[in-house]
Amino acid sequence: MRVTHRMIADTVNTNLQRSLRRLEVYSNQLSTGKVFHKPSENPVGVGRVMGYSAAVNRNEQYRLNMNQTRGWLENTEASLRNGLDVLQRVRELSIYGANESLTADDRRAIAPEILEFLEHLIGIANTETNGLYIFGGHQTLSVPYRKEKVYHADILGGGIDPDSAVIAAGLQNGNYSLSQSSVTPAADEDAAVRVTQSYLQGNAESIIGEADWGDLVNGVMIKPGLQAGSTITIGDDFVTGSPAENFVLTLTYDGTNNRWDYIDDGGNPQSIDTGIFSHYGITVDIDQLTGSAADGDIITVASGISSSVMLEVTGVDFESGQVNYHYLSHQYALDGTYQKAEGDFSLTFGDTAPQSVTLGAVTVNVEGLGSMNPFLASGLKVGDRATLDILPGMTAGSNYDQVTVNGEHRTGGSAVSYLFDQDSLNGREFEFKYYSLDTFDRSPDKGALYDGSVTVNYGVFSEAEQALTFSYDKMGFPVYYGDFNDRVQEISPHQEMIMNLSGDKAFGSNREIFEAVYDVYWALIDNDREALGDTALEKMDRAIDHFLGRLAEVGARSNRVDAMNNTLSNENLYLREVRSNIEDIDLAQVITDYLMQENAYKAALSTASMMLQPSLVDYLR
Amino acid sequence: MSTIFGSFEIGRKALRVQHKGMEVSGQNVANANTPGYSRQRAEMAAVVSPIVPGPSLAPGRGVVITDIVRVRSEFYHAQMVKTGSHKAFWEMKKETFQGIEAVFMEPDDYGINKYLGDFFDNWQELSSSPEDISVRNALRENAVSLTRSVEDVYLRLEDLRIDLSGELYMRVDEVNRIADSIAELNEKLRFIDALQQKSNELLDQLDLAVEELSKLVDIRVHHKANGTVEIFAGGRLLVQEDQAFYLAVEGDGNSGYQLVSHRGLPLKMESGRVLALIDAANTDIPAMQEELDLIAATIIEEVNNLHFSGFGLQQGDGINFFNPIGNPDLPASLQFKVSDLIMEDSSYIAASSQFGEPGNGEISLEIARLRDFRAEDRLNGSSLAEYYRGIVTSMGVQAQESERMVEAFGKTEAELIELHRSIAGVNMDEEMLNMVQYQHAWNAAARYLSYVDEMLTILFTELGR
Repeated sequence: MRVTHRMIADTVNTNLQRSLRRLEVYSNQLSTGKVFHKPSENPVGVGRVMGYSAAVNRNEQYRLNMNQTRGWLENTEASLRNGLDVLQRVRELSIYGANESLTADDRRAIAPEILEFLEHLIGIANTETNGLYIFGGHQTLSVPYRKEKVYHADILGGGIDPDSAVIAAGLQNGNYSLSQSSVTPAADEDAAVRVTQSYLQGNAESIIGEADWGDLVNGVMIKPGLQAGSTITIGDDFVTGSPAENFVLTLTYDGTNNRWDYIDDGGNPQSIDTGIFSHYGITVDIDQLTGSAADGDIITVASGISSSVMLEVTGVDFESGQVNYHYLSHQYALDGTYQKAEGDFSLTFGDTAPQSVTLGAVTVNVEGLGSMNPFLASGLKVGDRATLDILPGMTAGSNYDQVTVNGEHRTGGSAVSYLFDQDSLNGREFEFKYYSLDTFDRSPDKGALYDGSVTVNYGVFSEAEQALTFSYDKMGFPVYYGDFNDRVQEISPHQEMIMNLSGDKAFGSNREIFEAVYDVYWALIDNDREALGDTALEKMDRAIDHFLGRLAEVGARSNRVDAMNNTLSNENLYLREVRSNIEDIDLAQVITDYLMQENAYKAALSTASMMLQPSLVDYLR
Repeated sequence: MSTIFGSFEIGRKALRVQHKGMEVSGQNVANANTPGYSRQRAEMAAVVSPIVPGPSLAPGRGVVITDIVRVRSEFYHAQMVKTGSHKAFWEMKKETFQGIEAVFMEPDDYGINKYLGDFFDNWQELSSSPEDISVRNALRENAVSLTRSVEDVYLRLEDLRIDLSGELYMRVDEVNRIADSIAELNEKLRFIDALQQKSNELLDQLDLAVEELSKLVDIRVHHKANGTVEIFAGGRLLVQEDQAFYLAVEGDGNSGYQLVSHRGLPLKMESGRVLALIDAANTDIPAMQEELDLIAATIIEEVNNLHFSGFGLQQGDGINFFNPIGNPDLPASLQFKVSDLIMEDSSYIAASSQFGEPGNGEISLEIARLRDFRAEDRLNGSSLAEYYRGIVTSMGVQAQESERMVEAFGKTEAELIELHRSIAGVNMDEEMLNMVQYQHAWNAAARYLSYVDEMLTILFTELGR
């Protein structure tokens, strides 16, 4: 083939270009360390590298998550361990308290320490990690266990058994249950406000309701025809005289016989259908009442200071019949002022005349002390308690009730119900003040504990009579505000781990762990040696077992997390290696190739120079 | 009859012819590097004595140049032109895909692949810390980066498309311009032919113009006897005699571009840069944009579906994470944005499956799982990340194929060029030799003339005395 100089030049140029191109490729690879940089250089390779890069990132995300999970589990474990320590200590104290040689005073002295432990336990239950509460289920932003009173206000249908509303002065021991009773008053009867009270046998606890709202009339059944909210004063048209202190007179209308039944100051049932009668120092004109009475109507007349008196036996001498009492009394005067009276007194029972004793502003007739009378109750012993309630009187302005909740350690708490006038309360917001105390807590400011109010607005009532129930929970007993959800974490694709222990799982769905500690506390306070060695101890054992079980569970989860972390770590190395194999250069290889190519390039250059320079022109003269 | 004066004629012709031969060589040497130049050769022939009756022995009457021909191979040239057309097509294709590649920037730490991965990683993290505002904010920012990168890629593809359509108009103008110059050349050649002359230079120019034209559109050339050409481009008449029939571009970005003849008939092209430009603007780039839209739309729909049923930190359900696509006629990639509520306040991000449970991250987990989610009826059964990788891979394959085609046609073209040049190119040494020969022949002819002149002088001066 004929060759021209141009052709040679072109060929040399093409080859040099090719050589340079290769050099450029190698140089690029050396400076970036990567074999290819664009999809066009290796489309499949690029796709795979993208895939592995994404997998590495994802793997690292899982490992980050793992740290979170481990943190939670470790925190949970540490909390449970701390809790376990607390429970062990309480258990020890329970056993110690069961010791026969201890007195009631000794036991009572130990009790505050238990409360401290309880506080500590509640603190543990409210552990936070990174500002999140670990025992709250999904409610991680609010404190799960709170020592608050829980007031559940429910609208109940029906009314309340009217008989249970009346308490006579003196003592009446008995069981009165708060009811959602089925008594439905007649439709046209005006509503009345009553205070229901309950007593428990033995360790008499009582509750007296207190409220401060204009439409309540204490313990008075408005006679039909009279308006709710109106007051009846002594000196009024049908009641006159100078009342004796602390009495309650209840007149019940018997429609069949057209007469009023009542109990006189001698304790005898009486009836009167017309005329005037006098008891308790007051005179009542019946005829004024009868006009519009209906069968079953009740009128209550009472007087005195509203008071609750808590008595505790501090000494008994069966021979002489002397009993020493310690008393604590909350007393509300008719104008709303309050005073607290505390002290000691003794009574000697026997065939002496009935005595009365003055406690503060109240005089109590002790004749009917019942179980506080050593001659009537042979089982009376030091430490027994009783409560006396003296009903409020009635005059203008005395429209309040007092709620005193004592010793709220009984399961379920206690409740008080109110009936109220629906028309006057419709759509209104009203405030219920509560005041409760642990009456046997000897701390100086008792009476001021748990003071507060709750405001409710129930809109329009549809029932003829409705009741509002406020339930109290145990004093100092924490209430659970969290939920029951598991906090789930994905620790690797489609593998999940629960990283929390919600409050119900950790501390019992009915807060049994706290209850166990609480029971020990009250067993000590109640001087219940048997319980300390038996039922309370058993509860503590169960609580401890529960924690041990949860610890094992959490420990197992921790192990699984560690194992998964290991797996992820290995996987990370593997992914990076595979990716590197695809996209990274073999340094030695590329450098060798580059040097060889460089040599070839140089050779081409020198050959070209040799070929291109001479031509016939140089040689022709 | 040969007279002394006739001998002069021989010498004179010789001088002239050798001189012309030298000139031809000189022309070759001068144009050794001229693009498109075919070396020329002077065809010489001895002049035949006129035929006279009667016996006579007479040498020829000198030499004459019958023709100055271009030494070239039409066959190789034609092949070269056609190959060049294909190569130009694939070169443009390669440029298109390299441009698209540059827009996507994969594999890289700033491409959509990385942002997509980070997006799902963030949902994963949120599922284990749904209360954490800093995690929520990070998720939101990464989501914004994702939407921006998708939008960015779409817009840059659009820019590329606009640039290429601009080049399309420019190239078509160039075609028309070249057609004009060919028409002009045709006119000159026809005129020259009418004068019974020949212009090799013009013919060379014509060849060059044809080469240039074929790079732009695929053409069929009919050579006429008078040296003019008739050119068909894409099956439609482009140049005939001295007339050029312009091509035009019809359509726009939305309806697609089309090349039409002066009578409005569409061209059927098979190679050339213009065809690749039209493909790029009508098919190649819009296809990538549509894929991007599909990915954006899928992400919006599936994330929103799950998010809608979830609850924020304190809020109710029914919140969209991304703005739903308001206008189905506009590209999804340009409507891909994180919703305003969430931009305002990241606590609206619905991690929880229940109301009022701040520690609940179940919806977040579900959304994170979308990364691997595959369904037969969407995205061809691939997951989102897989589908995106598939797009990048297929784009890479197309770019790679274009490069290979360019190389293949380039090699073929180079060989054909070499073959053609071996015939039509100028070899310095050869021309030198030719020039030496012509020079010698000229010298000899000059010497012959001086001898004849001497003879004549003797005849004139010596004989009549």
